[in-house]
This record gives sequence, structure tokens and C-alpha cells, in this order.
Amino acid sequence: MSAVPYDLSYSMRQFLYDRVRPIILYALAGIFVVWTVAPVLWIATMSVQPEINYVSVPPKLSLADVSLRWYADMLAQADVAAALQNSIVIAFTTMTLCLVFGALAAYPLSRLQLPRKNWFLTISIVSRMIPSMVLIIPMFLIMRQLRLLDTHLSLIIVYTTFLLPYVIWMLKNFFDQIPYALEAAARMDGCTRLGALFRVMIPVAGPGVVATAVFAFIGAWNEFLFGLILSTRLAVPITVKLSALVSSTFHSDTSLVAATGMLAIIPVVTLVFVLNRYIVRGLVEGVKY
Amino acid sequence: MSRVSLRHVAKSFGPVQAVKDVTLDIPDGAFVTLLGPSGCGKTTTLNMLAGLEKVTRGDIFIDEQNVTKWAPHERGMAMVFQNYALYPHMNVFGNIAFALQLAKVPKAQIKERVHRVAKALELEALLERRISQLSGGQQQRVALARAMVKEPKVFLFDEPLSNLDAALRTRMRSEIKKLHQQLQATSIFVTHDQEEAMILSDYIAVMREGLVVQYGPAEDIYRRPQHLYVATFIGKPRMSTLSGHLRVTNDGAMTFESDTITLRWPFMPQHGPIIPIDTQAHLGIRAEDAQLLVDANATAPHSSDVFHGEVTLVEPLGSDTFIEVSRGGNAIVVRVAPDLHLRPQIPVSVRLPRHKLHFFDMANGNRIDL
Amino acid sequence: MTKTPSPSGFWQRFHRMDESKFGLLLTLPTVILVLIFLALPIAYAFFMSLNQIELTISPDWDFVGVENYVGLLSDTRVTATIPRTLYFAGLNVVVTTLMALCLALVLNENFKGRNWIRVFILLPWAVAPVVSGVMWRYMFHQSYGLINAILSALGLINKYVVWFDDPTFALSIASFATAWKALPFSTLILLASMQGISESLFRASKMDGANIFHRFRYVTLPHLRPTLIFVVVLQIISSLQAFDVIFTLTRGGPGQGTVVLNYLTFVNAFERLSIGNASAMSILLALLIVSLSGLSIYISMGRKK
Repeated sequence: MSAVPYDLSYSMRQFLYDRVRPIILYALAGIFVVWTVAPVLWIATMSVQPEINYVSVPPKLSLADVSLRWYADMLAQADVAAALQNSIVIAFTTMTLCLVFGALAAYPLSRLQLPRKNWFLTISIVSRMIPSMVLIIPMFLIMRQLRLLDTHLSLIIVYTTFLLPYVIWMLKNFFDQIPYALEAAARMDGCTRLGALFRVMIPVAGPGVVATAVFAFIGAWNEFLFGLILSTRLAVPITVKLSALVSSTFHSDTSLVAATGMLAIIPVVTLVFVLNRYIVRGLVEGVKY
Repeated sequence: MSRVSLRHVAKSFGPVQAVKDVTLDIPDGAFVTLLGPSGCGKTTTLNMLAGLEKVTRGDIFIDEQNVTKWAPHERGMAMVFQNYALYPHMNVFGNIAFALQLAKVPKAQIKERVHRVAKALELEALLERRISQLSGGQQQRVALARAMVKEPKVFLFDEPLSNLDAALRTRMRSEIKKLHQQLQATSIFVTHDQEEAMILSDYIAVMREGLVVQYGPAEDIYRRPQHLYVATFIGKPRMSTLSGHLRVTNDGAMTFESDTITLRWPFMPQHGPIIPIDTQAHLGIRAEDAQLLVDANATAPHSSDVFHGEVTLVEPLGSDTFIEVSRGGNAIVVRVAPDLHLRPQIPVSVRLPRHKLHFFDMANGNRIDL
Repeated sequence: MTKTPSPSGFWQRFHRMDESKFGLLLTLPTVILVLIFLALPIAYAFFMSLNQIELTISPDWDFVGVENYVGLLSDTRVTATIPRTLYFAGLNVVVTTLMALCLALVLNENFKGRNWIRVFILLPWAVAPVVSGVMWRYMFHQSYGLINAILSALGLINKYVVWFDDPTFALSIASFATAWKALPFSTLILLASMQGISESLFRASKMDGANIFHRFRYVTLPHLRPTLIFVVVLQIISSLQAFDVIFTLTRGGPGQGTVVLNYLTFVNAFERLSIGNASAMSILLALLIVSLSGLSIYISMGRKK
């Protein structure tokens, strides 16, 4: 290259690469970040400002007015606090059940010779496609029959059933990546088949299991339709509570609704920020056929 | 320490018969190698012994006890794997101690036993290391330690050396041999490397296509191969073979003829009944048994047990030199002294002493005993 | 020194159980759940779709065969949702796919802070659809929406626009909100696919003198095609299932302006209480989605090769 030090096309290219490329990249990245963050940031702003500030034209946002009192107000309300608690209980239990049942089912699908294995795999894919709307009426009737309406259990059962096919699929893909010899070694060392699964396979698939767990937790936390229909008073999750607040005219202060919206996303957003590395891998694994 | 036997053991994967019919008796404390190329069923046989693979037909006994249906953890065996199969989520100590923890051995005792084994394998300094921080050789030593610490009835080795580089492989091979001499535990070793098998084993079972072709003391396998397959699989360099027509007459004279060569051995070297033979056969001879005649004229005129040809390849190894002597598509490899400076295309003669020859039936490859 | 096998007959039999039987045993909890809470409801829904039912304390069942299905065709409320659903889905597909492709291309480049951006981009994926409905409602709100504030600050509008009074605006916003939520996932799978392009292919094309646009056109795009189709099908499916976002964003308004197919099913079931009709709609929707999904799986199988 030094032979032609002032080759115009070469220096032009270098200029484009060194100067123009970063500008374009950062500009585009900036636009996308604004697009993803703006709605969240706006509701977050609303949740810490008195309504009068953002209702005025133009909005008068002020740092001096920042306050967390709308959060405090909402948490002090028994029904909102209960909804949060419901969501935590339901999402956490669903996640646990999904991991246990999912690992139990993913292990033979990944490792053992199972009659009609393809059948199982096909069903687990097909059942992921069933829209909730088909199931919602029958599910309501079944739960009413089982006298489980408005209980945590009904939502836990529904969410676990719905998320299991995804969870099994993700875990199976993670188990597939573990060499067979590792499991064989565990069994030679004295593990039973289940022992090898829980003491070796699951710990070794660690990051994948974490991703799957987060996926199940978020899936259960964010669900809305079943929550809306199957709960009325006692088991109402936060998503349903929020939708009720949005459409009710009872709360005159929009900051309160915004704070509730924030409360509904803070736990999952925190999870995603802390565990994002695992989640990215997990999501990509989840769509591999 | 245990006797292990397999009785007509077979394994099918769907329509594929991986192991067809294997019967082996492994004496207490013996080091036995299952030797064969990939796909011969040796690893499947080992896995069935371990209980990792279900037996389709046949029975497995440990000390006269039928364990065919037992789970792996009930059999009291230990296994060393090809890819080490160390637990990446535990450190070295954890890997070695795992089996003892599962067996609910008291903590103090675990510590003591792990340290004893680690000392024997020079792993003491590495106990706190993570597996990913170890070299291949260290990993294999940890795998050995993990098997040893259980003090198992039987050791199983699934090609444990094949992932190591040449120098390390030789070292680990000696280490395994020393360990076996110390522990005297029944060991079953799977490999495709005949040299490894010869060096390590008391007994070798040569396998092919799901069957044991020959099972016996390592020396026998080398000296008296019962099948052309065994003869050419075992030994380095490969046993040279010529194909032709073998004829032994009533008076004990023997001829071996093909289009380009005629070999004749007039006398019976041994006493005993003479069985006349007249069949198509392979003649086999090992490089160290063929004799290079420097002066071709020195051959006794009545003896025509000499193969005349020209040198086509010279492979000096330092301690020995192997040359290939060819004539009309037939070739014989001969071991010669390293100070003989031979060059390709020199005409030479090779004597094939009658009592060093192996003959195999061309139809089925079986040994023909003369 | 190894422990002798436990004498207990039950555990012994359990440990020595046949591999396939053991495997079936492990899948049992899942199988039971799926049978009772997935297969049974589907059968139930299908059965209900053949009846005329009013959802009261003791519903009266009246077998009508395929009448519910036939009725859908002549139901103007149903036919009216079709152009709305198509518009909603089309906009969602175009916005999501183009943005995801562009974002994936950006994230595939090496630059400082890329990993941080990747984390931020993931945010919408975690947000519940219901909450994203609320967020976009507040973004476009007539009196305190950020969009109005920005547009008037830029002098583009004189007075705040009541966005949700216009059916096309409302439907577009619903579509944007759905695309917003879908962006992270679509980007991630496109990015994963891009990282599967071998470096040597790029180097070879560079040697041939290809510029960045040529490389995109002749190397990246052909490689991404199956994944792109997968993303498109996925967005069509998610548009057909849209409900949560619209529920908190517009509640179907103005008028019927944002009532898409799936939303209408909900309205028919739980507001008009005509269960048979809603079941028939949902069954048709399910069939549509399953066949589309089958297509996308078929494509993603091809993606592997």
C-alpha cells in the first residue's frame, strides 16, 4: 500500500471507514435506542411528576418536583400491593414448575430412546402455536367446574401448561449441547439417571437453565388474557390490575397509573438487565428446530 | 477385584447389529483390551459392561453374579472416557470427590482418599483449579484419579489416550500400565491402536463387525494369529502377505505358487503327522522374520524359499530400517540392520524361513496349521 | 468400598427400568397437563363452535352444526375486521422487519458501546403487552402525550392532535406498539443468522472488489432470506393474535376502529356472550395460525441447512 501513498480511492475509503462509518453507526444506534427507550422513559417521567407538569402545554418537567410518592401511594393501596404479590407468587411458582417438569421431559427427549419421540416433539411445537383465545372460554368453564376460579392455582396451571412446550424446547436444545460422556461419567460415579440430570446436566447447562427460567418467569408475569378472565378479586395479577386502573375513571391522577405501570415492569426489566447475556442465548436457542 | 464374563452378548440399534455375539471371560486382575477399528462394536461392548447401554441379548456376570439388568451405579465399576468427561462446574477436588460424596463417605475420609489419589497422580497442586484451566494431560490424570478414588471392582477405559498428542500418549500409557501393576484391578481397555493394546494388555480381544475374531494372551495374538484379519491388524509394520496356491504333499514338501513367484520348501522342519494341503491361500510373514540375503548367490541351490525382487522403499527408523522388496505386484517388508545402506531399485533376495510363515485360507481367512 | 445395591425392591426396579418406559414416566407430568389443559379445551372449543350457547350460570346448549361457521361469513362485524386486521398486520410486518434488519446490521458491526446498546434494545421484549399498550397510549395522548409535545415544540402542529379519534391513526399506533415489542426478538434471530455467515465469504467478496452494498445484496441478504421469511410469518401470527396491546391502548376504539379479528373474538365471547360464535372464530383463527406456523417451521428447517 505504501507504494501509492496518495492513492485517492484508498484514502477516500479509509476516510469513509474511519470518519463516516462511526457517525452512521452511532446515529442509527441512537435512533433505535430512542425508539425502544422513549415510551418507557416517558411513563417513568410521568410516574415521578405531578400530573399538572406534563399536562401543561408545553410540558413543564422539573427536577425539583421529582417524587416517589405516587409509588408509595399505590403500594399503600391494598389491592395494588396484593396484585403485585399475586404476580410474584404466580410467576415464581410457574417458573419452578416449568423448570422441574420441563427438565424431566426435556431429558428423555434429548437423551433417551423414546418411542414416538418425533410425535412428542411435533406436539410440543404445535401446542406453542395455539392462540390463547381458543382456550379461554373452555378454560373458564373447566376452572369453574374445578372450583378454581380466582385462585393462584388456576393461573399457575394455565401458565405452566402454556409455557412448558417452550421451556422443554429450550432445555432440550441446551441438553443436546452437553456431551453424552458427561452424563455417563456421572452415572458411573454413582448417580442414578435422575441424579445425573439434577447433579450434572442441569448445573452444566447452567446459563441455559437461567435463561429458560427467566423466560418462564417473564412469560407468566406478563400474561394478561387468562388473568383477566380467570381472576376476579383475590388472584388478580398486576397486568390485570393495571388495565383496570387505566380504564377506570376513579383515579383522577394519571401519575398513579404511570407508577403502577412502572411497578408492573420493574421486576422483569431488572431481570433482563441483570441476566441479559443468558437471555439472548436462550431466546435464540428457543427458535432452533 | 473381580472376574467379569460376557455370555453371547448382543446389541442392536434398530436394524443395525452393533454387537452380534460376544463371549469373553476376563480373569480377576487381568488387563484386557478390546481392539478393533471404529464401528467394530468395542465401545458398545464396553458400554454394555458399564450398564450405560441396555443388552439386547445375552448375559453379563461379575463374580458369578448376573448383572445384565443392573443400573450403572449398582455395578461398582469406574470408567475413564475418551474426552475425559470432567464436570466443568466443579474444580479438580470436586471431580475426584464426587463419587465418594454420592456414596455418602464421611467428609474427612473423602478428603484423605482424594489427597492420597491426587498424590499418586501428581495432582495435589491442582486440586483447587477449575477444569478449564488444565492441560489435556492433566485432565486425563484427573479422570484417572476420579476412577481410582472409588476403588472399583473393575476399571473401564474408553480410548482414554486417543485425544492426547503423541508424546503425552506414550507417557500416559506407561502411567496406566504402572497403575495396573500397582493396583492389580481388573481392567478393560478399548482402543483401535494395536501398539497400545500390545503394550498394555495381558489379554487382547480383536473385534470386527460385532464379533470377537480372536481372544487370548497378547503374545499369542501376535505369534499365532488365527485369522488373516488379526495377522494384518496387529504388528507394526503390517505383516506382509502374498497370495497364491499352497500345496503340501504327503512327503512334507511344500510349495507356494502364483503367476510371478514360486517358492519351495522341500523338508519337514517338525515331526508329526503330515496333512496334505492343496488350496488357495495367503502367505504372511512379519518384517523381523524375513531375512535379507546380501549375497544372492549364497543361497543353497536346492532351496528355493527365496523371494527375489528389487527394493522399492527404504524407511530408516534409526534403530532399525524397514525396506520394501517388490516383484510383480507382490511386496514384502523386511527389517534390516540400520548400517546397510540400501537404495531403491537395487535387486535383493529375501529368505522366507518355513517355521516363521503364517498361512491363511483365501476363502475364509482362517489360519491354516501345517 | 462401593456401596452394595440397595435391597429395596421398588428403587431397584426404578433404577433398572427400561429406558423408554423411564422416559415416558418422566414426560408424564407434562403429558397430563397438556391433555387436561390444552387438548381438552381445544376439543371443548371445537364442540362449542358447533353449538349455540349463551354464557349464563347454566348455559343452554343448542346443537347447530356448522351454522356458526357459515354465519361468520355473512356477519358484517366479522367481515369489517378483515381489512383492519390486514392493515394492522401489514404495517406491523413492514415496520418490524425493516427495523429489525437495520438494527441487526448495525449490531453486527464492531463499535464501542455495542454491548450496551444490545442490552437497551432488549427492553421492549420484557415489557408486558398490556403495559406497552399503556405506554403508547401515553405517548400519543391528546393532552399529555410526548409526541404532541415534541411535534408542537418543533412547530409541526399548532394544537395537540387527538390521535385516537382517527381510526387509521389509532390502528397504526396499535401496530407500532406491537412492532415495538417485537423488535428485540426479531433482531436477535436475524443477528444470530448473520453471525452464521462465514467470514471467508465476506473476504472473498471484498477481494472481488464488492462494496458494502454489493456485499449486502449478494452475500448477506441471500443468507438471511429464510430467517427474514420466518420473521415475517412470526409477525403475521402475532398480528392475528393481537389483543393485550389493543385492550389497554384503545379498547377497540374509536368506535370499532381498532377491533381486529382476535379482539372481536374476545368481544363476542365476553361482552356479547355469544360463545358458539366466538368459538367458531377462534377455531378458524387457530387453524390459520397453525398452518402459518407450520410454514414458518418448514422455512426454519431450511434455514438450518
